[in-house]
Amino acid sequence: MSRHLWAAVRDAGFIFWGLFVAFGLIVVAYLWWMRRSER
Amino acid sequence: MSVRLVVFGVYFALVFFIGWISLKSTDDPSDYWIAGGRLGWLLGGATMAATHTSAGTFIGTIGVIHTVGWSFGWLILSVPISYFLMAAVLAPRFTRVRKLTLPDFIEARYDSAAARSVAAVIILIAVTVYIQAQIVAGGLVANIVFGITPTQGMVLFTAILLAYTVVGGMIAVVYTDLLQLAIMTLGLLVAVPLTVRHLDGFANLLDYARVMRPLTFSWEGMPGPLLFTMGLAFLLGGVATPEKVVRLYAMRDMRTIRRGVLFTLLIVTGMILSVAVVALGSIVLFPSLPTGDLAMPMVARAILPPVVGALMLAAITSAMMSTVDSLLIVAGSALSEDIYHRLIDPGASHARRLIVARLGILVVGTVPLLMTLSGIAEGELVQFIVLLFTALMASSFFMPVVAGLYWRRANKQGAIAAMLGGITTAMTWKLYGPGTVDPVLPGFLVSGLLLLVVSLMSPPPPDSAVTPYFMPS
Repeated sequence: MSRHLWAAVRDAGFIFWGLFVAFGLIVVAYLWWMRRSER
Repeated sequence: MSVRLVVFGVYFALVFFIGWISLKSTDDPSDYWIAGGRLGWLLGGATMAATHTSAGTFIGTIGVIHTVGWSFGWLILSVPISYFLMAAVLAPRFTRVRKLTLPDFIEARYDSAAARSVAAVIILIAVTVYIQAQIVAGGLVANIVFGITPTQGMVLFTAILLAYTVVGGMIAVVYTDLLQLAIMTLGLLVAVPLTVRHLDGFANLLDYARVMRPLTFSWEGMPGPLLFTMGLAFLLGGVATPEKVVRLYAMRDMRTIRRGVLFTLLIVTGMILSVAVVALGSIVLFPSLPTGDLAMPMVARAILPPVVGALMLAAITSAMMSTVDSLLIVAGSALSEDIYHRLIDPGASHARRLIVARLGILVVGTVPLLMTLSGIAEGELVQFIVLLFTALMASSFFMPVVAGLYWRRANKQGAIAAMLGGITTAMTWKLYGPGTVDPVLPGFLVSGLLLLVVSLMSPPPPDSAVTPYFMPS
């Protein structure tokens, strides 16, 4: 089942999973900025 | 039908209850417009998120993804980036002097009542456009829920909204926003897994969508320049739309704002991503719809169990109402504080200003309904009306607000020219320009250029107005 999921995500391509990765990176950047401004 | 009526009955009863309670805690204009500036991160973030999430999200986004595929989903990224910029770039300086409205800020920074009036008039025009989109969607949902005609639905929807906003002001709006956000989140938390299960799991959902419509996961669904410039509209508009920035004044301090905006960013992006997944489901289940805007109501009615379906429709209604109530507050404040109090009757008492505000909200809420009933903007996809509003706001306010906080030399002549030039360019482009580039790009560029050139050609602004925003914190 999980292999099927990975295959489906891979077949959908970067246009699909790249969006989630990019969102994650923005959240990490925000948290980093928040920590820095409150130090 | 009866389950839907019960769910909606309970929802509307709660909304009215909140409006009535809020009336009692509203003593002066600051309570009415910015909830006294006392909000913590949860309420502040929730009201920002609920305001952001409109019919544009629940009906519009899903409608466009249904029509052009996943590439439109990348526009979602402009949302977290715009909130990041709002918290990191705009808020620290914008909130140094606490005002009541965006035009109020424009007057203080540029030391000009004329600039304030221009801002107020632009807000009134743009808000009318946006409210119209929500009313159209409201009619669509009421048609499905109550079986009444879309026209009757639009009238009912507007009447309920006006009732609690006029009575309760910002305090009512903030608490109903929290309730509405909870309903939206709950609706999606239940609807997404059910949609995925209905299609035999997430892997199959992706496979089916790809097979049913090969363009779903390609960049060809939408022209690149259009996608990019639409993203720009959401990015710039997200930073400087009046109904959002005024929420920075409603929150207690910068620490609260950083947390509140993070909360907004997570909730809003999470919700839009969930909606995008439902959109994939709608591609598989209803490949050919007369308009993409029907995708979400169809999913709610056809594949969700009655209670969840009703909850989802209540969520869509919440999304629309939480946005329109906030816009009504912004428009009402533009009329009462920025135009009436500033220009017509400077000596008006608190009580009188609140009466004018309430009357103003009634008028501003009724005009879009009348415009819609007379057939203006008929047949536009909801998302594209929302996008036009965002482009108009970004073209008029981004430069005067953001550049005004970082460039001391920006003055009232520059700001007025930037606002008028920006909105005129964007409107003209929308009507006559090529459809492959969103109006925000020319609007924003003209606005920036005018701010720069006109400011440099006229005397610098008085130090007393500028200094508060440039003091080291």
